[in-house]
Amino acid sequence: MPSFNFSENTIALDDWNQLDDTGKRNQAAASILVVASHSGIENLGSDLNKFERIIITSTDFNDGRIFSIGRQFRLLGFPGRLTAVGDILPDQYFPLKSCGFDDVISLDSDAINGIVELDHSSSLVTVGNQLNGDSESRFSVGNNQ
Amino acid sequence: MMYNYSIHDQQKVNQRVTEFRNQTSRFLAGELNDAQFRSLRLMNGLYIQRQGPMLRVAIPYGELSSNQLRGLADIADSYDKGYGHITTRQNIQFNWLKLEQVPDVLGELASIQMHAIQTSGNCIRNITCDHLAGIDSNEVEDPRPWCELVRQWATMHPEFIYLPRKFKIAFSGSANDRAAIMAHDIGLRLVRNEINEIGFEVYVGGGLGRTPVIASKLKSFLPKSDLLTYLEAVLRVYNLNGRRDNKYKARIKILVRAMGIDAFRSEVEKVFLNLTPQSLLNKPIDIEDIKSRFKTGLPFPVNPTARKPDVAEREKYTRWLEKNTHATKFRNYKSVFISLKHHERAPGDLSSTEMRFVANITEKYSSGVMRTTHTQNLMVPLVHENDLVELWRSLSGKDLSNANIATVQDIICCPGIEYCSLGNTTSIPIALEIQNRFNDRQELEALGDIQIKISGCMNACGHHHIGHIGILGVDKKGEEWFQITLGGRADQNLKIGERLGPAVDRDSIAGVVELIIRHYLSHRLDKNEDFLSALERIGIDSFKEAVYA
Repeated sequence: MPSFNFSENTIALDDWNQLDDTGKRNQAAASILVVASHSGIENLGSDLNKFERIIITSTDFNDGRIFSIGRQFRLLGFPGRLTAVGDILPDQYFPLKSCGFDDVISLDSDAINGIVELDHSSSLVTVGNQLNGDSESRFSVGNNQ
Repeated sequence: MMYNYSIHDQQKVNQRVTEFRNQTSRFLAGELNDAQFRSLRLMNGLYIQRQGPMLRVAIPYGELSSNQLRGLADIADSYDKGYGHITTRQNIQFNWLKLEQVPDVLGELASIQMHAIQTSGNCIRNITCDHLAGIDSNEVEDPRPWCELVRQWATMHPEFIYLPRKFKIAFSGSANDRAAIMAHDIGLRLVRNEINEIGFEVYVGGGLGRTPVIASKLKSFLPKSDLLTYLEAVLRVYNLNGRRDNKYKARIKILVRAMGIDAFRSEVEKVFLNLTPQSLLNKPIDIEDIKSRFKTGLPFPVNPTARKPDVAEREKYTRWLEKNTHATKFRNYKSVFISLKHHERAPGDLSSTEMRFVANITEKYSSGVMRTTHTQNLMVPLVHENDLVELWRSLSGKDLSNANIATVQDIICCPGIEYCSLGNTTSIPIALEIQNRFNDRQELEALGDIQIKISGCMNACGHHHIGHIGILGVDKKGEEWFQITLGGRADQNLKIGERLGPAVDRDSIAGVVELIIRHYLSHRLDKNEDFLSALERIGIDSFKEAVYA
């Protein structure tokens, strides 16, 4: 599983919004934007193209805003990778995929630095190994839409 | 004829069964904690109640086949105590399941094209509908295909399964609202515009519970083609902006009130303008395909000529005909209500034996399709007039011909504290006590339509706010007391009842309700002045004086 160091090239949405002119934003080196699931993103507009990855954080698996924010980013035309980070159940991987997410880092994941990739080439999301270490067992969710 | 699953529908419910079986196993193995499993099981209609797990099975917009009803009877016998309970949202509940057996129950439901998906939890719940949909002569259009369209779109919708709170949608096809749409998070009424196009009047932010609110009009005319994109816009605005800090302030009615309807509308329109049908997630099948599955096939009469009641039967039959049947838009066909309100039965309950019986007679005298109503009764939509006497005799043989539809005995009642962990007080015994005070048939007829609704707690599952006489159970220092409201309405002129006065104790409540009704009888102008009209004319203070003097 690939691991990522999110401290480099990363900027939080609040900090990005404080770069209040286009010049500063163009100069910003960050390629990863971090957004909390309760954030408003309407003002990002064309800035989205500057980022290769947007990370959306969620502190409570019951908080469904992460799904709508993911959808909003895709409807706004964000072409890069969307990553969900936080308190996320494996049972939520498929709806996250459907809402446009590419990856999930769950706080419960045994692979602490690992990312679950939501495979867009398959109609199923399969989480292997992470739940009980058994390489034969799989937890599959999804539908054939 | 009712909607039959497509291959895709069946795959979806099968997949959900597999998923929930996995989730239950993980929970029982300690791999999911209570909080995690709670969200997941609620999405599958599973509550943990006082007596044990309770499963709420979806009956989409109240339509049920005879085969499905037999399947529910089998489940009641195999997994429960041999009966089920019809709810005020047209679903059916089983109260005595074992947790580890619930995946098996869901598997059996899937085999009869049924499920419990999203009947609870913070998601879009069962879509409900006017029980006379498709057969009422005053209908603008049959709302059932649109209910089915929204059901398919809403079921396991990836974006809207972790909403701030539950979300209820109801449809009406006519100006006569028999689905209480104005008491729903979204109410949709089919209407014609000035150029005779048919579309939807959209209402938002209605609800009962702790803070009863009548819905506000969101859009006067929504073209049919925009229904799902508009709903997506409403749900997205709600999902992003609804409160999550306090579950008692998390419904959309609170958000609409906080923002104001104009600002809320503006936010919805902003989102809506950027949506297209092509961008929808969870696309349902084509509406014309859905409509084709709802074509009404009129059942052939069993009897070539009309049967007549015997002399000894005439009075009872005539009473039943008047109270429990309803004219339809099809000449020679009536809809037949089967009352589940009886002084020896919890309102809305029916046994597995009765389920199989109703399934059989629905096949014999109709087209094998029946409906649940939000008043917790059953209805057979179409029966030829030639067959009514025979049908009545069959129902009478099983004590299911109680001629009390839309009378003071037709009480809506939640399960109450005996079954529900949220309940503050009993409710079913109160309903039975009140019913027993009005057993005289002539008096029952003389009273006319008086709608009594009873809730055992503030969550208002018994719809007490919109009863002509509403009864709310409250806990006062460990004792059961009951607040009374008068003047509520559940129709197109939806109205929240007005509180009568101080709460009444458990021993007195049935007697007080009788007092209220007799006060109406003694003060009405004549038999044509109904309860609500008399209340409006003489005022609530008159009733207050009678009760608290």
